[in-house]
Amino acid sequence: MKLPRNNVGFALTLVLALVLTMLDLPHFAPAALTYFTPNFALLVCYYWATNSPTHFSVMVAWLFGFLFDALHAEPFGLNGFILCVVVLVGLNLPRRSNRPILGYQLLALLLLVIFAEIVRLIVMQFVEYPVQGSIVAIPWSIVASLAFWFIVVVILDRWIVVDDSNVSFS
Amino acid sequence: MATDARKRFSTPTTFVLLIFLSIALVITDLSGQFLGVPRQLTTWVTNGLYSGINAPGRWLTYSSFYLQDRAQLLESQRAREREYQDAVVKNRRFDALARENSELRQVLALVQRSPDLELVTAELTATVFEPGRNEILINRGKSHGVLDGMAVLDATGIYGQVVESLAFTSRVILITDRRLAVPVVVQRSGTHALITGIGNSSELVLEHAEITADIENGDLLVASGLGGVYPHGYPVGVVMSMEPDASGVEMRVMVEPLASMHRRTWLLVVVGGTTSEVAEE
Repeated sequence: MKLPRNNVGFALTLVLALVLTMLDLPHFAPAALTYFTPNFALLVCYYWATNSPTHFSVMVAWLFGFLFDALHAEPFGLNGFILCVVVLVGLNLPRRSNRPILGYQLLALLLLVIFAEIVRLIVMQFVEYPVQGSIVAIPWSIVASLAFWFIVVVILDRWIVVDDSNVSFS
Repeated sequence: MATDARKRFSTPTTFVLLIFLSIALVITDLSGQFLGVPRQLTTWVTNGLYSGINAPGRWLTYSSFYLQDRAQLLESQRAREREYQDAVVKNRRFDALARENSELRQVLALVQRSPDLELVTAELTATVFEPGRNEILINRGKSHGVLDGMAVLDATGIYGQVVESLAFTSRVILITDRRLAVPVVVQRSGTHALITGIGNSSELVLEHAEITADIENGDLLVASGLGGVYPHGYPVGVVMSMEPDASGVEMRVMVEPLASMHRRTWLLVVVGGTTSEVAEE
């Protein structure tokens, strides 16, 4: 399967992220595994922002953030805000040969994942106090997001995205 | 060109606007005043999505639970079957005990009904299964006062006769054996006769009955007491059928024995007082 680097491709991968977010763990999985949940939306948006900066629109990310708000029963705008910042950072990463520098990319990802968790925690303090389980889940969620990042890169780089090497940035 | 593309899709203005819009939405939503309807709509949509996306997984989970439950049910069913078999065996043992108890009660009742008879209770120990031989072994012998020629009864009728008495056991020949004859009298008419076995545990034959003899179907035959072996008046059998033989002078009278042949465990040996009458039940 090959997806184009356009809004359809972005939307489909974000829908996939949405589905992965909504999927229940199988009944035989240990309950502790629920803490080890990556931030799929953040990873996908970050991937598109860093790997397809000329095509990926921040508006798509913001709209999907709206969906994730509804999904997680979080205040409207929270995930949109986080994803906007993610896309902003992803678009402005230092580049070499039209590719983001790996070290900066990973460092930025780490900071963004931590940022997202902290912002969510702060905002959710106003909704429910204390936030149920979030403090415990934050480190595991960060680790899961970083670990899953490599899977996202492999899948989107090799299996899904149509090679657009003919696109010129000059 | 890249800058143009970035400007086309994600201008700084767009970022600023969206970030401010997001913050405004968060604050508005936290205030809980204006976004109730969108919240309900999106919740409705996401609930549908959630149900749809997780339906296959839930179905698989339920299926696995169903299969697991089925396996457990099968195991439980096997356990119940084993318990049932055990219960059946126990129940049969109880039935056998109940039958034995009933038999013992009948024997005891017979002993109590026959104060003039001197009786010894004996238990069946073996049955001789040979064609034409209707014999049993009992666990009473000379040491218990059981001698050759003594009559053997069960609770319902005359059973046989001791033919060989040993120290602790005795061999008993049944009245259904061809070699044994029992003098009887028709209780209704007083007609005397002699019945013998024919090797069949459910039939006796009344020998040499004249065609004019006063015998009818259903007549009760009791021991006549002649010969002093069998207690007088003790039931032997009931007339089942009568038909003239080839000569036309005599009848062939078939009699059903009242004693339960081969179905008794407890028997009584008449060791004395055989000439006295037995009270009828």
